[in-house]
Amino acid sequence: MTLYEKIITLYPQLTGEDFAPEGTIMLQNDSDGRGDYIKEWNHPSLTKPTQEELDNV
Amino acid sequence: MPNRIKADSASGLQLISDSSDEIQIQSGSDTVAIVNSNGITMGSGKNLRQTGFYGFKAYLSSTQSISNTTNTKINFDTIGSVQGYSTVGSAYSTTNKRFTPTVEGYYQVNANVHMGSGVNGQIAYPLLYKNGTNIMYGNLNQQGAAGAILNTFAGAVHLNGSTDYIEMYWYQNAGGARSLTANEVLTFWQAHLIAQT
Repeated sequence: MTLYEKIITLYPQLTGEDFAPEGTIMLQNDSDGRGDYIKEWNHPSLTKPTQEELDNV
Repeated sequence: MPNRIKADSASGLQLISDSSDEIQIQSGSDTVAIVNSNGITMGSGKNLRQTGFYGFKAYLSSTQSISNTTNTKINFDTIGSVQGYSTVGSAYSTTNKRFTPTVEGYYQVNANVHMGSGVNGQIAYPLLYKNGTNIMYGNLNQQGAAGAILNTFAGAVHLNGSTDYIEMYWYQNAGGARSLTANEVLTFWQAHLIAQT
C-alpha cells in the first residue's frame, strides 16, 4: 500500500484537492531510496498521521 | 570621430585616439562594434558570437514509476548528446540528478516529460526545485481522455555558481502509480546560462 493510500485509509474525508497543487498536503519522493514521505501537512482540521499510525494501516 | 581600435593586415593594430567617449572596434574597413556609455552596439551585419556553451542536457534512460499525488524527482541520469549541448564537467550530477553550476547567473531551464497511461480528468505537471524547494510549476495538463501525456517546462532561475542547485520533479494524480517514458527525445531537461552575473 502506498503512502497516499494509507493516508486516504486513515482520513477518507480527504479529497483530491487536498493533494492537488497548492493543496493542504504535499507528498514527495526525492528518488534517493527513502521512498514517499509527507513533505508538508497543512490541513486545517486533520492532524498529520504519525509513522506508527501509517505503519498500522 | 570616436576613438578607434583597428586591426588590418597592412598595418596591424592601430589605436586612434579622439576626444569622444566612444570606442569603435574595426577589423580592416569593417566596423565590428561600437562601445559607449549605453553599452555595446554591433556594427551593421555583425553578430555577437558565443563559441563557448555553458549548460547541459540530461534524459531519463530507464522507465521511472511515479506514485499517485507525490512530487517525485525525475531520475535524469544520462547526459544527452543532441542539439550540440556540451556537458559541464561535474556541474550536472547523474548520481543526484541535479545541476549545480559553477558560474553565477541566470539560467534558462526547459524540460519535456512523457508519461504513459494517463486517465481522463487527471492532471500532471513538472516542477522546478531550487535547493530542495519547489519554485516553479511547469505546464499543467488536464487529460480530456485516457492516454499518454507529454508536458513541458520553461522558466529562468538565478543560481549563485557555488551552492545553488536545481532539480526537476513530476506530479500526477491518475489514481495509481504511472511510469515516465525513458527516451532521450521524450523525457529530458536542459539548462543553459543566459546571463552571467
